[in-house]
Amino acid sequence: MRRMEQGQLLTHLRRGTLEYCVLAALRGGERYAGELIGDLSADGVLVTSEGTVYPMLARLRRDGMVDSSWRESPAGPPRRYYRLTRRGEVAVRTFADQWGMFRDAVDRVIKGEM
Amino acid sequence: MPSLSTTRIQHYLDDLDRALRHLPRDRRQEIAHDVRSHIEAALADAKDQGSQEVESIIERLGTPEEIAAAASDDQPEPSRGMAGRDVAAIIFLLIGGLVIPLVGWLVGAVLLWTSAAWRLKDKLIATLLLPGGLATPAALLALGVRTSSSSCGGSTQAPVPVHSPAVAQDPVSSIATTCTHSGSSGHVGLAVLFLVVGVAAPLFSTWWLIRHARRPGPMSGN
Repeated sequence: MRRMEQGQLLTHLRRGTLEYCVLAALRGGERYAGELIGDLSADGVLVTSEGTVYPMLARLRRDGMVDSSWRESPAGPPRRYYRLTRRGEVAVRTFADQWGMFRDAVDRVIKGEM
Repeated sequence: MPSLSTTRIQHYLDDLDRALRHLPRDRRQEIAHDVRSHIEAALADAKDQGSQEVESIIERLGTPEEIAAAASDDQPEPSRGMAGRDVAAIIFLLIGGLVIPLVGWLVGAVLLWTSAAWRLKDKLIATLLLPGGLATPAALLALGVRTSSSSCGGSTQAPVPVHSPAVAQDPVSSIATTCTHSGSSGHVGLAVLFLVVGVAAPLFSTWWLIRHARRPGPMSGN
């Protein structure tokens, strides 16, 4: 097994899960992109460069997982708001199930209970 | 906005544009626009628009290279591992009509239109080029052969001057001569053209479908 630096390891772990985290963050309703990104990057674990979320959001839009709309803002330029689509809801629900199983399985092994 | 900050922002956006150069233009512009809006909105929210704020916003955004790398991850991969039903769609569209006339191709069309692997544009191209797949030029060929052979047959039954020495000595070549003269060269040229197009179009569609297939699944490009 290739030995990975810590940064690389996290990058690999994020791949495949981060987009679902973005979807999950929209479960509570429509959100402005900057706020969504701010939340996800708060702990510095899921997101380290905020800019990288934009290509991801663009792809989620292309894949029909989210919809976006521009809204006028009182102070400043128009802002883009994102909301989950039906398809996105289904995707994140499926992920949540799988993630639970996966996380529990990894935890068991890591803690030596397997 | 202080001009120094504006310059800094512009430098960053220029660097970003350079880093995104390899992307298709619409994606590049979309990401650039989103990042620009992000900076503008963050500045509007910030307590001031000083160079320190700008620096902080840009630092949190990450390097243009990081953003470009994230964008490249999303590029559609070449279609490895097409679903079985998608492979079947391609096969049925191409040669289904040869095995079971009309129905064979229709099966392919149904599989195509119910597939998640292609966009509307891909499906339209594959359906219109060419309805019937390779069966269509094959049918045209068979029709053409039958037409020319019947006219050839008809000609040999037409009264032939018995006393013509050429005919009497060489019946085969006389049939051949009659056959080529029974259709004008214009018709033959047109027929060949239809045949070539009729074969090229389904082959092109097949290539197109293979090239543009996306792996099915909730998240493509994973």
